[in-house]
Amino acid sequence: MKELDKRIDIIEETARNLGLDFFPTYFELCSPQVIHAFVSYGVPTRFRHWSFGKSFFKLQFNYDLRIERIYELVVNSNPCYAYIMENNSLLLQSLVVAHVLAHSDFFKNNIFFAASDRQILNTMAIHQERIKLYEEKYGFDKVEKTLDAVFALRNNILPSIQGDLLTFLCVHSKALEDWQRDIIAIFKKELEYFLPLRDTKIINEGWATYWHSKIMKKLPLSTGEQIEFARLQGILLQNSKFALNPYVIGFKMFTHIESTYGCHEVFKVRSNERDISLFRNYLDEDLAKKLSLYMYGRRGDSWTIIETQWQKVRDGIVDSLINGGFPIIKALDNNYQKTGGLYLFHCRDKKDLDLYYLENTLKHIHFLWGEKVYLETVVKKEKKVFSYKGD
Amino acid sequence: MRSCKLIKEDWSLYKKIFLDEKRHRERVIAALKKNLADIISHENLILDRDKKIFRIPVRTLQEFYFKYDYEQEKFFGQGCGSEQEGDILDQDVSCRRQFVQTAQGVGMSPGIDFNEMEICIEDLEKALLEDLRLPNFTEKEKSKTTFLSPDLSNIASNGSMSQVDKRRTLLESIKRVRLKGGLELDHILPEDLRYRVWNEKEEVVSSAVVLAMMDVSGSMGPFEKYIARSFFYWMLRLLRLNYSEVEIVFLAHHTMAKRVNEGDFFSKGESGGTRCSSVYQLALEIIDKEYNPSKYNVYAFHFSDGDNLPSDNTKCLELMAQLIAKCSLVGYGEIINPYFKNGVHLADVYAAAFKKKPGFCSIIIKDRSGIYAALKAFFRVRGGKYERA
Repeated sequence: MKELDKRIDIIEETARNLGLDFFPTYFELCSPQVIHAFVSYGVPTRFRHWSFGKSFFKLQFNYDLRIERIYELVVNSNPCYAYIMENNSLLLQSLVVAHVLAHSDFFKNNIFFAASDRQILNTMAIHQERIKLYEEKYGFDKVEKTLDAVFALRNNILPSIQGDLLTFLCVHSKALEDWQRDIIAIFKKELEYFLPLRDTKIINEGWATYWHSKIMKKLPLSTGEQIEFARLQGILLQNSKFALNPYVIGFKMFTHIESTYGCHEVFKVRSNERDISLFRNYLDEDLAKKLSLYMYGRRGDSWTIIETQWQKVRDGIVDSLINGGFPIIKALDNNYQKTGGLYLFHCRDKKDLDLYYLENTLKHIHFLWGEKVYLETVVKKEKKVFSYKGD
Repeated sequence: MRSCKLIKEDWSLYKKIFLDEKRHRERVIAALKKNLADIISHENLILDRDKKIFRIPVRTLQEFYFKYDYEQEKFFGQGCGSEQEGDILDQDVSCRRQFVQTAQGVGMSPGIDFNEMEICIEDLEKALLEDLRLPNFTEKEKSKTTFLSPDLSNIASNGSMSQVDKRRTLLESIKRVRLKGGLELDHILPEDLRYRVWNEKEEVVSSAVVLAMMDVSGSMGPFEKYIARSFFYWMLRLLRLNYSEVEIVFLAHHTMAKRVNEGDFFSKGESGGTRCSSVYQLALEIIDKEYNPSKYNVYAFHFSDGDNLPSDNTKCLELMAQLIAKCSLVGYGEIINPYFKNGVHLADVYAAAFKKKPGFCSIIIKDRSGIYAALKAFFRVRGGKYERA
């Protein structure tokens, strides 16, 4: 504890001297179980739902099998809270502390977090209390059913002319009681916390990795610690055949930006970009070659590389990042055929929807809407309208 | 100026995640209930009979939302620069793949949401067996055995200090003071002390005996034996879960029948021809000697592949009729290998003879899902009411 406290001191000073501008940051050592619980909720004070329990079960399971290691969870708030895994070596903790300070800097300065609620722990604690109250008043099952339905729309708050789908349901549904509308409002407010995190995954991890690498090099490390650092860095910066490792990609992008445009540009990128614009604006041929990116998909029974030409790969990545990789669904009509039906429209983009998921999601929407629900989409190049009107 | 610090809080009371985990588990089990036929035939369950917890592949509960067709999705990866279009990254997509993850939890390969989940045998049992009971169960005269259950409702003026009933002790003290005309609460004196005492309450149960009869002849292949043992395994679980006083007699037979212990019944195989009448004969003898039907609810369940010696069928019919007369229910399960059926089987013989007998139930099992079907057929509650011993 004491040694780590001293290290935090040194790291903070080093980070400031390098130009990082972060919130006051509190570090707290936690057991794996507590870390996994916090990661499942996203924010420790979040309301209860079985889906968090599912996530916790998986994290614990993977941890037991040594598949997955999580070192920290950082809450975007002021002061910034960082929960870090206990019982790691001083060197690993130093790396994590440096990494976290860069996240904290990112939260404070990136434009997509400008509107963030910096008291999110309090806000979510209040939400949690409200939902608990509804559970007592209206019954656990009813609240759970409402939450189940609302969770089905977690990827549908992209603004459109009539407002996003959740807001649309909240405003126009005749089936909802006031407490249910409040649950939707709570859920939406909380999504506003999580969405910028989702959209800055690569740039934020890249930024943190870029800085912890710089900071670590400035610390007075022993030879043994330097070797350990090199080893950890090696594990962290592994290419993945099957996915974009945000640590590697982000780190290399920042390194490339620094060497191409200079140090000033790096801070500009941190302030103004998110993943999608980072790829669009800064992935050039040179960098794409260095990263050896490719696009792959199912061909028959195997995963096959389908594109290596760098512009096409870049455009593919940009496409895959739109709305976090989820389809965009809009509400077109709240009184379809004058029968009170809800008419939804899938803004068509190259890919079909998963029909099994579609049918089950419509059931959730029906629960919130109370009347027949329609969804227009395209299946195998043909226009199709799915509907659900209850059992 | 320093703005960062190390803090320590106590999270030992942070328990909500366990409630959420439990709720997820409950919902998984509720979903499992719909697929019980698949689950209970899982080999692990029967092979490790003494284990309390099983790992069986179970999907975690799906959460639905709008998403793209997985087959059409495009993914991205990093190579070493020499990759070309058409290169195959991985062949193995037809079977379910686990996530391949690096140490940081990134670099997940596209996989299917699939996990092994620990299922506690009690949870599974509850889901599986709660609606199953011994049918036609009646109170039998003189068969009543008493069994003692602890009851805490009695109060005594002496007992052990750990059992002091504070409330009653205080009341006694107040009573004593008031009787003397006082108002203030006095000290508690030894004579005020009241204790809770365990009292043993008599509960009346009716007795039942189950005769588990299994064909272990040479014609019973691994599949047939597996089905029969699975059935008996779950039957035992059911009986032990729902009944405190049930005796079980294990009988194995080929051309000869003998009484075996539980361990042998579940593990040993034999060979030879099949004469089912031998086991019925033995069952009848045991009933006559040890389990008078006027005192016991007698149940007999027989599993065979039905490949009986044709010359024995008449005798079987005759003895079976006697068994039915003596038992609350006789169940006969015939396991048929769909690729290997010849001649007249016992099930056909019984079907013709006992079709409308209320005390007889016969079922034909063709595959694993038949195990649960047999359990439901034999232990279905008849007449809407079931007894609990």
